[in-house]
Amino acid sequence: MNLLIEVKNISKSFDDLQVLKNVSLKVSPGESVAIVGPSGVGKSTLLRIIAGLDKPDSGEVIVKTNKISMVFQYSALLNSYTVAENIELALNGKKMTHEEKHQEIYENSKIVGLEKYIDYFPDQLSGGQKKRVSFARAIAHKPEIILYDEPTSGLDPVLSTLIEDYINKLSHEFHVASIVVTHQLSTIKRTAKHVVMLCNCEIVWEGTPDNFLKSDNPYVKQFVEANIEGPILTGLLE
Amino acid sequence: MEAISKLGKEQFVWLIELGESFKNFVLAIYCILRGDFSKKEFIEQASKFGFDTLPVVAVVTFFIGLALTLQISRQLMGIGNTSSLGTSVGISIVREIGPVVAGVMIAARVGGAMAAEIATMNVTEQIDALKMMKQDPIKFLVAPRLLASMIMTPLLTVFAIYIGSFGGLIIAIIYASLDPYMFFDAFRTVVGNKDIIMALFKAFVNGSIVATLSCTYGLGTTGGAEGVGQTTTKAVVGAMLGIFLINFLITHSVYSVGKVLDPAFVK
Repeated sequence: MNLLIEVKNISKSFDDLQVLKNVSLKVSPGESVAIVGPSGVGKSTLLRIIAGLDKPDSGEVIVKTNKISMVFQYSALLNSYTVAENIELALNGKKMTHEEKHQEIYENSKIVGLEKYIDYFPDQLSGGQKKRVSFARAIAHKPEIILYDEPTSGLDPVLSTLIEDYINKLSHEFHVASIVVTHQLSTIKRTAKHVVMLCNCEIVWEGTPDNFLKSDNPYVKQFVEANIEGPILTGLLE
Repeated sequence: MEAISKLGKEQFVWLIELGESFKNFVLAIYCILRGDFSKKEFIEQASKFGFDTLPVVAVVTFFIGLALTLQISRQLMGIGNTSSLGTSVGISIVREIGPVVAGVMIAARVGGAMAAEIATMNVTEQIDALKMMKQDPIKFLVAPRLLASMIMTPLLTVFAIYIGSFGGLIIAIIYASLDPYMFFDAFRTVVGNKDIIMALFKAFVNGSIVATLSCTYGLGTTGGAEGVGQTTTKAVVGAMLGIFLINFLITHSVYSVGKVLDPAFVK
């Protein structure tokens, strides 16, 4: 099996708090994986470890490409840089003429429908627009993997759908593998081909989105039905 | 035992931070020497230095010049020797007050802002975003700030010396009824090229301390808004302590070496 990302038995703690324990994950080229689970179970930590921003305490992460991008939860745009300059940062390693760079910036901003805003600063944009700029920045250097950290958090349902459409567009049109960290069911349903549920530091369930919604697994059932009673809250409180 | 170990670690955090600062300084200097840093950031930072700090340095050094000259002139008037007012004011302002006050003002005004900016970038994942785009934070953030600080601090120090001396001159004329020519003549007899070089060297070191500590604390920030606040305080306090300590060490070294090489210098 041709794998792009292989996470082997990784564990991670912050001081005395364990957040991941023997977590394993495999992602193939072009595959869309959703990592779900309640807040604070280590979803973003797992994503950061895959991105190389954090190191696991034990275990191994093999990423077979260096063309990897990340869309951060709060966009993480540089405030003193315009939209064009933010996108340009992702192109800085490439040997391109000024005109080619400008054309590339325009093309990428057009994909997310922000070509008229390239001279704006992030402070002049709405939350949804910022998120779309961070998409444009993420795809600028033609990645093979894009990691999304809660891409629809803080957005209204309409904007969330738009963002989910962009995730699908990038996956299908550019054959980009994606890992989406989310706790929104709509994002799972619309973007993922494979779902992994994290709880109590471990993977407690994995499968297709359809099976996820129908699963009898107590963690999944409680998460999908948004019940207070169940193992999720007990585990978090412990 | 665990509590003691934890306490021990906390006691030596400053040593780790010092090591980290030194590492960042060396890496940034390496980037500067290779010309491998963000020119846009450098220009922005250099203009921020001038724009943010010039007015406050002018006001503070002017009033220090006034107060210092007032104190000295009272003492000299008591012994009937106001003609040497320019000597005392000149040495104080050029050798100590100019570099130290400019350094402290830069630490408070620019260093604090620099630390807060980088700390905010850190807690809002902007620095992680830079790393994901294969942009080295040392090249992109530290080197341009360090270079801007190393160039602009000496310039601001020269400005501080001029303004402080001008304050001193006003008091010399109004309060001590001294002829301006006499004031500057006395000033010139003691303040030589060596003093100017020492002041510029101190300013250069002060600028390096402010930028290096601010960037290092900023890059190490964790814990959201509270962390940003703590970083800003630590950067300003650390830079001020560094400036006072290094100022003393440079003055002491210059006198120790000067005594051997040129006995006239220490007079």
